Amino acid sequence: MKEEKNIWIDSVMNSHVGREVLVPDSSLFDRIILQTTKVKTISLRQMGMVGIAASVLLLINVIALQNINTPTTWNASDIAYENEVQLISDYNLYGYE
Amino acid sequence: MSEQHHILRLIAEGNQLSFRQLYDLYNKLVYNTALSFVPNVSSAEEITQDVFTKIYRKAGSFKGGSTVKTWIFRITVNTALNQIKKNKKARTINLETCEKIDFDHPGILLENREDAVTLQRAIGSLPETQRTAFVLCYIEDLPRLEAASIMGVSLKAIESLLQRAKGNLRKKLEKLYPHRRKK
Repeated sequence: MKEEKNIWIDSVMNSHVGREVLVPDSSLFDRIILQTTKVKTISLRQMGMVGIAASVLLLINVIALQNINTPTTWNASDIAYENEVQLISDYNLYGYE
Repeated sequence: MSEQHHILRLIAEGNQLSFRQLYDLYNKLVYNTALSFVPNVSSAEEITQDVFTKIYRKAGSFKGGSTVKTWIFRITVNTALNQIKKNKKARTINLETCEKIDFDHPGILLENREDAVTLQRAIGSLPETQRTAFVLCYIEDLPRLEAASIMGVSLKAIESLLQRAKGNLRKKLEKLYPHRRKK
């Protein structure tokens, strides 16, 4: 049984022996030449996708710029906090002038 | 500079006569190697077409670090492996369920056909490097050193890959043994 199995495995492993060397179809070279001269084109769909992606990026950048340029508005609690900090920093803890 | 390196230079300059010359020299090698990886005439022709298109476009980038034959072999192996990946995405081959594979290799002897399909199925389940080493050394019958140069690995690494490939193939075939068709 085991020997039979090994014989079968060996026959499978050697099944490629004696295979014929084949020649590709005679029209293949013409097809290759056609492919090499083909100019790569970008489809309208791809162009549209690129346009949309660029617009989204531009929009994000504009929004980011607007947020940076907007002046900070202070409210009462912020001013109080600022004064408090100032008050603490005015203590002359170490006797220096 | 070798004669074939010179031919590549001429191809890079757009000389179609030289391209035809190179095609005549290597079309059988590329086509039959492709058939060893993908045993299907239409896929092998597709691979051959892709390989020669790449050769035409990249002829100028050949630096002469290897022989032209090795360079062409390398492009063929990479293109064939990419084709297999593309096909695998479309459908997965299940080894245990003995799903039919697209086998159409007119060069295989009729009496070996059944076994060749089984071998192809088993090879298909090997990791990429083991499969490449096995196909180049056992099916294409290339010297180990040349296969190592094509794969960009050492001779020792090729030996190890072949050992593992053979071991794994035997294991996979043992699993398939109960499903075999008795002659």
